[in-house]
Amino acid sequence: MLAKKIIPRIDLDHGKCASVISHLNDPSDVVEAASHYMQQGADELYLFDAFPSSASHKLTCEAISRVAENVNLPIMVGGAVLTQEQIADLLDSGADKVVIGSIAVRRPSFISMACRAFSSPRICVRIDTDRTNWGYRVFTGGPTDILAGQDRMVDLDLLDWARRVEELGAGEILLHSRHSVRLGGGYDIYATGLLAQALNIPIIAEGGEGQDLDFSAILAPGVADSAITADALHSKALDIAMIKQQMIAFKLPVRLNTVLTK
Amino acid sequence: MSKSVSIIACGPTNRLAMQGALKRIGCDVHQITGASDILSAKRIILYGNGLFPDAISRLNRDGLSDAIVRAITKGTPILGINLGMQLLFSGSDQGGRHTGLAVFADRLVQISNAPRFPHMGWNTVQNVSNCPLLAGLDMHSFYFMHDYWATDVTAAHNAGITEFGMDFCAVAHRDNVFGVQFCPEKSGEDGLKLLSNFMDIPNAKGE
Repeated sequence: MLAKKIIPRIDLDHGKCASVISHLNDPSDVVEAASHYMQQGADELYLFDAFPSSASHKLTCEAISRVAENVNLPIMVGGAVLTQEQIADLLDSGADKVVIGSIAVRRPSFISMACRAFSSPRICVRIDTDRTNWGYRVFTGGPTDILAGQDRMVDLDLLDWARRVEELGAGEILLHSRHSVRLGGGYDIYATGLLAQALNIPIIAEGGEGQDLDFSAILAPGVADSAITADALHSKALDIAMIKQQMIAFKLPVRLNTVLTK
Repeated sequence: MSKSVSIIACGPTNRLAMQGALKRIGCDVHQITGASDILSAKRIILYGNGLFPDAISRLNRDGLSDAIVRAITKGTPILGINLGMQLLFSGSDQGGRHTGLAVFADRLVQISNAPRFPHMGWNTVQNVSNCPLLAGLDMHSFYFMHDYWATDVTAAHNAGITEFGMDFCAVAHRDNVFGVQFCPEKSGEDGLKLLSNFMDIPNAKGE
């Protein structure tokens, strides 16, 4: 049975680890961070270029290569991916999947072009959403948008846009909810469930987690297929092995890590 | 003594993950750049992800397809991984109808009847024909990432079954040729174990 996935997000600043991760010998070393989470039982890794600049793309690629060579887990990469050349570079460097965000909103045909060039399973579209007076709307809010002062609401309904993204060939949707980040009381089960019910492609949820129970809730049948977690994991408030123990108690399909010897 | 393996990447695929995994289990890794490398290889891994038509036309254009078929005939152990496995089938419907290397008699079709697709993530593989590749790994989890699959689970080549809405062929095996739909180089310790099982399969010279 297909297991539900726990995906740690590691933020990068010019190829160095920007997330403050407790108890690493070298807190800036992305390979050490990745190995640490592999040991804990991570099912995939999400490397995110949180500080994009003209120089960061090349350094991100180098960091991915080092992780790909040393850690045998799937790698998803995102942050300021705006061209097909960048996707090709990231895949060549060792990424298994590339996450595109605001470029997809600005130019939806980019999704179908990328899927034709690299195949659907390698293209994940990130949707940034928030609950507004007009229902769930789409936002652009990647690091590049913030730099360009284009961090704003787009005139798109969440469900309409998600359906469009699926039609255009995306292999997966990463749904980031600003609403749940603001509340901090767990993932956005409503918005995620809405997409999961309406679409056929897998959904990854991001934003709002704080305790073990949040994972069992968002990864319940009919909601998300994967959950991304970052700060609470980095500060050791959460631990992947503990999260999975609880998921097992809730009868959710979980991959048991064979190196887990604790 | 480290065992030698030659690798062919198909599609936009990074070599480091595969090289890193093989080096970790103590292999001596060589890159295949032409048909002569295939014929002299002790063991071959054909891997990658991407599109079937692009990959098969590249293999045909570079004369690698013929060399692979000749290597198979002379008994060289070959492991096809993900797209590399798909290339060993009769053909695929991805982007039109395309012909493959035809070691395994089935065609790849787009995933349907599944709860969600593409099939992305960790799923268990049942060893149904005592396949040496899956020795010690029956019902272990591996990482899948594909949108086409081979569904004839009654075929003679079918060695490992995975359930995703319905059963499909996750591991194919015929004589010295093996194919896995998942990515062992991305599948943690179990993936490394599978790769070392492949390295233990004797070639025609008993090496």
